[in-house]
Amino acid sequence: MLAGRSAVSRRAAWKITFRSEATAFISIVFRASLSMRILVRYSGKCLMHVTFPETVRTLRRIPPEAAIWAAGLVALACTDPNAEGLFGLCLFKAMGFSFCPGCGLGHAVAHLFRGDFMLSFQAHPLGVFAVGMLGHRIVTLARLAVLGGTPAAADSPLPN
Amino acid sequence: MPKVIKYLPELEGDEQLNVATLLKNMTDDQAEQFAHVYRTRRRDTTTTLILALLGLFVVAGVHRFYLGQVGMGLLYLFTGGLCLIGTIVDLVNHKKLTWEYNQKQALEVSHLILGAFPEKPRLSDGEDA
Repeated sequence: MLAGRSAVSRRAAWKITFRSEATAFISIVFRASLSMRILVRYSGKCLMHVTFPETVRTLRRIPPEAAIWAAGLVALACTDPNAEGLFGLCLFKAMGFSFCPGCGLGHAVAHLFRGDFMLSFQAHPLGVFAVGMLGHRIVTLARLAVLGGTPAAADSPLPN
Repeated sequence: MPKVIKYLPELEGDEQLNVATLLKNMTDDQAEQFAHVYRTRRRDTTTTLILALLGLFVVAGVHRFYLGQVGMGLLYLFTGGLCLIGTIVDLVNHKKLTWEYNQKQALEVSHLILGAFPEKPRLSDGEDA
């Protein structure tokens, strides 16, 4: 099966395979051929087949601000808040100030993703608020990117 | 396009294009009204940048309040702009932030104008001619 597939993709191909719900397979095949393609397969069937320029176009529509907040939240969700000295991100500390109103927020968010509300509040009282606000902002920006803010795209009740 | 240049000559780039599409369906009167209201509502890119710069030295998040994002403003205010990281992100991103606000306002104002000053019936066009 593997050999057959690599014969299909002529050049080197990276393949990521996820096992989902025991029976079905989703595989994403990045083919490095003349026009780079991305295939998404789900139990043998091809779900998505996009070319490289399309992918770039799609990626460029992602608002950078939303991407940054999302990356931050995901990174904090993946970190262990109990490990010491992980966060060296604070720029106030880097500049030599001892006080920073935002410090502890990273720990607060990380605790929150593990369900420790008390620890989260102790680390920084605004942890819940921060996650809520950033989530709201990501959704707002994503909706704007998908629906488009242009008057032609929005269903406007313009009397014409 | 000519209407934008006539009534809102100070706009440039994406904003100009956006407003041009909105003005296309309007009469000259409506376009003039639009220009008045939009001018009072739109936010200035440079002001956003200066307010965001305040975040590095004095108090963070003023630019978010300026752009009507109260929640994000409070978050920045009480966390020192997410330990300055958020402030720096916004310094880089200040044009897009302002554009986002202005785009929304332009659409709202156009609805307002078209609702408040409906196009005159054909009769008046005939009289003018």
